[in-house]
Amino acid sequence: MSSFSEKGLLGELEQLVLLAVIRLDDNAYAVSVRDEIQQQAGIDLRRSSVYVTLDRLDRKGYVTSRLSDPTPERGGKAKRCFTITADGRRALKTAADAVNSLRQERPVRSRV
Amino acid sequence: MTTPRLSRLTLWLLAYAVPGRWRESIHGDLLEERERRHSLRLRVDALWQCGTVVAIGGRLLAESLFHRASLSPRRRCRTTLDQVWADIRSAVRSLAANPGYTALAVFTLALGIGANAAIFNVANWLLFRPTPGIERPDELVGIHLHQPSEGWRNSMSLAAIERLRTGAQALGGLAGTSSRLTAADVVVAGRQARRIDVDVVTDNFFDVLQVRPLIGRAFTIDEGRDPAMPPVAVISERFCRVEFGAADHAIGREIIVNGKPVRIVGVAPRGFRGIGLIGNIDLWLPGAQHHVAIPASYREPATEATAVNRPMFMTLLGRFAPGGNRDVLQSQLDAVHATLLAENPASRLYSQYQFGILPGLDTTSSERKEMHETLVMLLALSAALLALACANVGNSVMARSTSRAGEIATRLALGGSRLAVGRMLFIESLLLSFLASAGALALAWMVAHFIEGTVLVPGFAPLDLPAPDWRVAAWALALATVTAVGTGLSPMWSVRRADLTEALRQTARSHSPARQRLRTGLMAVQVAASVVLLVGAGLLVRSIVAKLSVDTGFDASRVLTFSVNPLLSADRPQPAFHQALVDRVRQVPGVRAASLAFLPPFHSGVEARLSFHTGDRPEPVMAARNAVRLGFFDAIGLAFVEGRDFAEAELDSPESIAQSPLILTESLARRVFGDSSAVGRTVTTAAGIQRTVVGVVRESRHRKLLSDDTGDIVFEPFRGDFRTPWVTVVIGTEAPDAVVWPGVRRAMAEIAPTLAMFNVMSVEEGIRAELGQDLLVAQIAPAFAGLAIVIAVVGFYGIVTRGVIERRRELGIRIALGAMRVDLMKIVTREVSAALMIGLAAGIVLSLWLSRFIESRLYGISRLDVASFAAAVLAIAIAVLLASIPAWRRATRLSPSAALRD
Repeated sequence: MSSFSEKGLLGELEQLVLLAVIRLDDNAYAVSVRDEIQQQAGIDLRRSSVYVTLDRLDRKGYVTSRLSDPTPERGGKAKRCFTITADGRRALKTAADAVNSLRQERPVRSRV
Repeated sequence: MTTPRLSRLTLWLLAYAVPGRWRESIHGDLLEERERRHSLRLRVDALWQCGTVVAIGGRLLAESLFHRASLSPRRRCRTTLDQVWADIRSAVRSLAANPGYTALAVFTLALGIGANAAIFNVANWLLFRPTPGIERPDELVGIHLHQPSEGWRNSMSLAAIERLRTGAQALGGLAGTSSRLTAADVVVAGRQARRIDVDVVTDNFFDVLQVRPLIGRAFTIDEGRDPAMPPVAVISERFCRVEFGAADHAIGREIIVNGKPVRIVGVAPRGFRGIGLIGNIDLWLPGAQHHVAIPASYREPATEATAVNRPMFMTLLGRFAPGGNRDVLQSQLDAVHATLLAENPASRLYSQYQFGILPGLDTTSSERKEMHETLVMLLALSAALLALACANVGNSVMARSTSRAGEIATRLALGGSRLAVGRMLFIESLLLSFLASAGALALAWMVAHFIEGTVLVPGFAPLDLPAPDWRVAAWALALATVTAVGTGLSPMWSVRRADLTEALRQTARSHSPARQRLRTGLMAVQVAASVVLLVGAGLLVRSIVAKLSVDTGFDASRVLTFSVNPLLSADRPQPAFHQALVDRVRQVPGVRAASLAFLPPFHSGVEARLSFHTGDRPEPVMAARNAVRLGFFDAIGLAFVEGRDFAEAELDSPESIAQSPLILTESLARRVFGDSSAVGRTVTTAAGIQRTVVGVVRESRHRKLLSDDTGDIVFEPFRGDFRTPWVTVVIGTEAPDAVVWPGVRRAMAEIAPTLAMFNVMSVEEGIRAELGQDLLVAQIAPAFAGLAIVIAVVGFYGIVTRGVIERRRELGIRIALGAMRVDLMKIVTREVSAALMIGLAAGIVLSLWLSRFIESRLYGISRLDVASFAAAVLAIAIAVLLASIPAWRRATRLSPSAALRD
């Protein structure tokens, strides 16, 4: 497991969340990320999964976070908004490439 | 729009179960989702909120604990803390991978720590916890009369208390509580009377102690000082629960206390039973109503005017006002003393005694001291059990680290420092111990429930839900840490000596001499601890058996006794009441004979002594005395050696008690008159009055076992004009107790429904009650010894079996070379027998030394009792042999080819 992520490969969940963060631009926080994945991909993630994945991506350095200004409808509590980093984009690309290269047609081998 | 809010539990969970960096944003997210779900009519209740927070918090926590290693190398920082986390994770994984081993180790340690925690829990309840219900007890001080040569007194009149109240300005309040134990007969709702402990207090008692009534109120000033006010009382929560059920049913109800109606105005908070930790007080009366608690018929009636000046036995408790301190208080007390002395120049009390200050809540009563000894003894026994458990688990941890030699060697070879590897092993032990301490607390809690309501010391409050508190938890955790050191040291020691190349070659000789010595040592510790426990248990049990089998001179199982306070039936003349009581009890089916006595036949609580001498013996003889009516000796079955019982005329003769005839016990008669007959001889009492001996009864030795008493008793006639606050009905039975008691109770309900029966017990139960703490220890000690044997057998089985498995190559070679079964047995046994010998020797020496501490509790046997020591040694030797049998079988059935192939 560790070698998988040490090579910078991303899990499915991490890819979904990262893609959602990109789509949401500067309003990516846990609630909106979950909504986005549900609306666009039709996948209903557990709340806790979203938080854990964001936390892990943050600590891997694939996203950065900041606290937004507090709003009254949130009881005066700030949002933790996420932005993808260059490392994150690279990792996403690597993951996509790995999948794509595997997906290509198996080369035909001539019989000896 | 109102500000949305989350439930309180949710907020608490957010604060404690969610990492700090996430807390605020998750809080906001929850509020946002709550609004949205609310508009969609989805559930948003506290359960949903808490569930969501727990799910998120739990996963974030698990993530930070278990998946940090999966972070990209660039971001990984290896601080010491990270390494410790890594060690914890690896320990969790390693323990989870061996559930059998983990369960056994945790179970063994939990037994060891749990026994300690359970005993400490009781000790905490009896000795250490704050007195329940009292707020800020450290502000309280006790005011007593003091004289350097005579010590402290607490006899104060209500008038003196009033002076102190106004004079001692450093105190925010001064309250008094009766310092004498007073019992009263209480009738609730027309049921048969019960006897409970009563306290007489000043009106501000509850205010000064800051004890807030659970329901109702405390006393008013008028109720405390004006005897004309209708009598009121505050009752304990326990009494309320037992008699009324719900607390609010009690307020305003009228109960009969010592024949007088008293109205209940308040219920004290749960657990508050007076200022002592183990008090048993159920009813508080205001000072002005002290005549209810101590009826005038007990003593000469007092007029109102003298009542305020008559000394009462009151303990005074004050609470410092803000800014008050001891020096200021002392000078104010001295000023009050001067005024009192000026007002009562004739008072010896004030001319000899000064006011002094003591700590407020008494913590040094003799009963508690005695309990202290018992508890220290039990804690010592449980400490031995814990040592045993530690040695046991230490051995299996070490055995495991032996089989992990490869892993450890690899870690060392890859550059792990010995410190780091040692730390990893230690953390594993620590984790085991902490798991065990959780189990131990559960065990302590179960024991607490099991023993709830037990009366540990006769006359004191039964244990009232002593659930483990933080002190017990702290104790268990401290023990767990000690245990971790105890069990973790040996594997760390073996890491220190690990030989890398050997280990990596997978040919590590697990029975290297150093390791073998350590293993033998740990086994020896187990044997020694078992010996100590078994010898201790043996001595205590044999002592109790000796006490219980003492010849009481009569058949104790066939004699029942109970006491009543006849003075409370003041409407009837005492002699008539005494006679009616005995006559009615005699009619109960199953009763063979009944009589009256002043004291129960086994009593040691109230001392009554007679000093006398004869013509040929000028020096006085001291003996316990008891007053009995006709038929007493017949009722308890004590036979006459010579002479006769008292005659009817002697009970009602016009002469005073001081001139009535006497009956002596056999040993006393021999002590005073030698071998010649005692009947008809005269003795002269200390007052110079001649009294005639009319009979000698068989020796009653029961008193000897209760104290260092000679057991000699002088019996006098129980005369009709003998005024005493209690008489004891003595019943000789010819049917089982369970048949006789209901009949006796019905008889009492008929003849005196307002009198409580107290000290209701058979003589046998009475003797057991007198043995109290010794009996308790003698019951617990064998349980510990049994646990010790179980733990030792399990431990030995594991060690010996593992030894055979580890040495199967060697054994296989020996078999191949023609070794006989006997030789194999010798090899396997050598290590065990060495441990057994060393352990037995150490255990015996240790027991010889430790037995000095229980010597004072032993009766009828020496502390060097050969039987107890021999039984302990034999039991352990047999247990060890039994535990080794499976290993022997395994060794002798070893197939050499299979063993060599591995």
